[in-house]
Amino acid sequence: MRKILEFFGFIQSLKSDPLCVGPSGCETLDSPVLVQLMNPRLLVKGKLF
Amino acid sequence: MTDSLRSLAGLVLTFVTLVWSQTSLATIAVKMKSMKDATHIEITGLSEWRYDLRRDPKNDTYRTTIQFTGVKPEEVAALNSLRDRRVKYVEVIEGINGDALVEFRLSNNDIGMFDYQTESPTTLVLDIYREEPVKKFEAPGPSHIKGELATLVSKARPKKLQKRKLASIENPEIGTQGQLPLKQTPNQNLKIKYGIFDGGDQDLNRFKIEDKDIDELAVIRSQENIYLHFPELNIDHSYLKDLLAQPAGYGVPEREDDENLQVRLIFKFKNEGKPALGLRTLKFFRDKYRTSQYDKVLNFLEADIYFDLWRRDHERVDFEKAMTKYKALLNQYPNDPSRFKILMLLGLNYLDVGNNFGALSTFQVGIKTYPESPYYWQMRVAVAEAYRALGKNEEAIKEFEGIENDKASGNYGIESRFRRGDVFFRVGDYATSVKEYDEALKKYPDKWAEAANIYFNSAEARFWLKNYKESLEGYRIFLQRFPSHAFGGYAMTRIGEILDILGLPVKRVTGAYLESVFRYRGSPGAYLAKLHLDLMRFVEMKPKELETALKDAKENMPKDKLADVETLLVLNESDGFYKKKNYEKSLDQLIKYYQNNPISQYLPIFKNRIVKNLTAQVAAANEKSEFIKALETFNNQKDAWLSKNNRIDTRYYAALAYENLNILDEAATGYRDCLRSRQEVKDENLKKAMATENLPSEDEINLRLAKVSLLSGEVKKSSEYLNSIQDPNKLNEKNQIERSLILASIAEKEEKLDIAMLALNELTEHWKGSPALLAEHWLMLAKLNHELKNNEKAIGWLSKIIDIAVKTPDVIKKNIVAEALELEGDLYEKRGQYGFAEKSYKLLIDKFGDGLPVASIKYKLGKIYFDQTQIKEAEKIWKTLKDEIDGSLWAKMADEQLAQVQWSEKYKRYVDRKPAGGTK
Repeated sequence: MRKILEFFGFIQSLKSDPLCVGPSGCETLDSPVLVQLMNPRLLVKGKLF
Repeated sequence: MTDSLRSLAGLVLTFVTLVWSQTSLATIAVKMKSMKDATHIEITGLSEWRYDLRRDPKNDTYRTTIQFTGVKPEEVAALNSLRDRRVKYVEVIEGINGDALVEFRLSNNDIGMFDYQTESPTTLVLDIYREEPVKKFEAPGPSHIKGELATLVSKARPKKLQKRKLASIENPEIGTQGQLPLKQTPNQNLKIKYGIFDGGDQDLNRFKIEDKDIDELAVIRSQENIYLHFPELNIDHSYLKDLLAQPAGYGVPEREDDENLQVRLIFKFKNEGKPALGLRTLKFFRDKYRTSQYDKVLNFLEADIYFDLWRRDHERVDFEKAMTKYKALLNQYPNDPSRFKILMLLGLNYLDVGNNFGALSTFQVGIKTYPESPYYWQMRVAVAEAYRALGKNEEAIKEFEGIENDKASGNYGIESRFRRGDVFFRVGDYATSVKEYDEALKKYPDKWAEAANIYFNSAEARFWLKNYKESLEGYRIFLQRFPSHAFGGYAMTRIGEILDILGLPVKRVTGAYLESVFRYRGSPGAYLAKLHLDLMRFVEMKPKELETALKDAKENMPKDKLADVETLLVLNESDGFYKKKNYEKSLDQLIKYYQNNPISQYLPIFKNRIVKNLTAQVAAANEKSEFIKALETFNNQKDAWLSKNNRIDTRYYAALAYENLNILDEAATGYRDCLRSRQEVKDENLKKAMATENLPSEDEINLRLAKVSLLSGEVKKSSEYLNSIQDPNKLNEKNQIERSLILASIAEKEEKLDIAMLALNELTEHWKGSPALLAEHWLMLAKLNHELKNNEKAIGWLSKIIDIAVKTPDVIKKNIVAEALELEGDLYEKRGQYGFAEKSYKLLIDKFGDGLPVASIKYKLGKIYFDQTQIKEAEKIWKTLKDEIDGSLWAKMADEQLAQVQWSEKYKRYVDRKPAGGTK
């Protein structure tokens, strides 16, 4: 459970701090993925993707 | 039906959606096709098409009109039916002189029209197409087809030829016998057409020439031009592309646990093109799971993600990381099935970024370590390519030979054979490359479809070997067999250049350039063709058009694709201004380049252009009778640009200026110098001089020396020079007349008037040129006849001059007409035909005396009046004598005459007085 929560926190950090590397601009999470990732219930069940 | 065939069929269906065809009332036929990319119109039936095409943007529609000459509206009435998405409507109406005026209403401003004529049969072709905005070039570099053009080419290329499948893990056709990496086209004889049109000449016979068409001097002249080296065409082996198209070959099964979920998220990010997110998630994962069942797969995934980053962002650091990770994988998992692919990835990527040493060592290790690799032969070919790129030609050839000689290599052996010529081509050993290419095609004739490099590069090699006719034929076949190849623009433009070099008619040269511009728009070859066309039209361009053309040429210059294009542009612009006779501007550009580029390989060409320019300046000043200016130019540059100048014509023009300024000794020295040089120049040097100079003949120089000697009073010398003229009939009209005049003058000076008459009569009797040119001749004949007291004949010759002068005043030099009129007046006066004499003098004063000293004529005219007691008339004309430059002496004489009359008048009444008383 701790690892799941840490992962949840990691995903939140990706949301608030998009990766901007190289000349191609920033990489952001797509909304559908984000909705899924931000749902701890689904996360816990590992029923993503 | 395979996918590719289906696509091809679709393409054909889309291309030819509508076809109209109609035969006109007369012999003129109009054919129209509406295709995917263009509306194509062909009009046949005349041996030459005369028309004026104009484009006028009007309102919101684009209006293009064609006014034909010699074509009636009903003959092209078929055009009325043309309508498609590019053409709103066409209207054929009666225009100038009842000829057809065709108005095209195009659907919008982006639609353009391109017109040109083909030969055999003579066809007027009109293509209506959507104009692409001018873009920076994305055409292929030496090695690979990239960018937008690649997409276009790939679309146009038959699907079957687009991708050459090579042996791979998923496609293990190679086996040990290595069948078929080189695919054949479905039909080897197929002449594929994927361009917009072919002008009714599918085999491109319009570019065929015969030996008799070649002008040797034009070829020599062309050596003074700059021709650019086109990039080498390499066979695009697509090894790397095919490798990257393969699936990863690893993955993770789906499970419902956190560890699996996070690994799958990394995969997801990679697959969705978010490598940075993938890497951050990977870092998070590794922090949490120090060891994981997924470590191996994640190591592979990490290397691939770095590689994705490199391909996306082109940051070298990502490339190096990816390569390091791949190497680590090979060390860590030496027996993994992916080892062959990873080694190929390493080597091919090194090759791709130009790290040829890296590529060479990687493949050498690969060949040694993995002889069982399905990529074995690809590695061997790549080693040879790396050697070639490193300039190790012997090793490259040895490797190619080794591959070809091994029967197991299959089509890789053929590929190796095809690439051997490239080794020599790249280092400029064109003769050997041609030999290699010819032998390769001879050995594997049925594989021609895989050998675009051979056709193009061997044509290019032949061009640089100056085997122009063979080169032309090579390019023709290249275009015939690979009509949509990205190098088509180069080939078509080179065809135009070769036709120009060989001295073919301008129409054929421009035809090739126009095709290049139209068919290969946006390519460097088309750019070059446009430069040539602009130069050909330089003189007729209006200032605004010229400004735009020069600006476009500078802005769109494909510097990275065409080495030295900047130099060519300078030379072209300078040549343009030269053709426009703006010699100063042209010279300025040449000198600027010469001074700013001290190590340029083109300096000799620029130097020759500068000398040519100065020569033209001297000649042009002579033409305008600005002889002092001509000599200023010549003498100012004598010890500068004109020092060590071998051109004979420069010195000839200078001598001509001296002659016209009556500086006879300098003129004679100059002409003698020219004569000596002219006699010495022989063989190839003579041909070169004939091709590049306005070379005077020995006869012409002898004629000038005869004239100068005569004017100097050296009659004997003059006679000798005249006798040195070998073939008087080859002199131009003006010189033939001059020769005859000199001959007559010599005879006259030697008091052999009959011989003088004979000389003049001989020419007059056989003269076929313009009669007006003989005016000086006739004048001399008149003078001689006058001396021989044949005044009737003399008046006859003078009348010929005066008749022409009266009808066409500017044809004969004014001083000759004036001299003729004066002599005619004198002759009539002596014969007591005062009315005629008066007429001659008056004509001279009123119409031909402007700027000439006419005081004596006015006096003579007044004297006629005076003698006929028309004192008032005499007084009137004599009054104007004081206004004449040399009139004072004549005015004094006139005054004396008038004073005499006034005295007589005054005393007349006393002398004639009747006796007083008169008659009354």
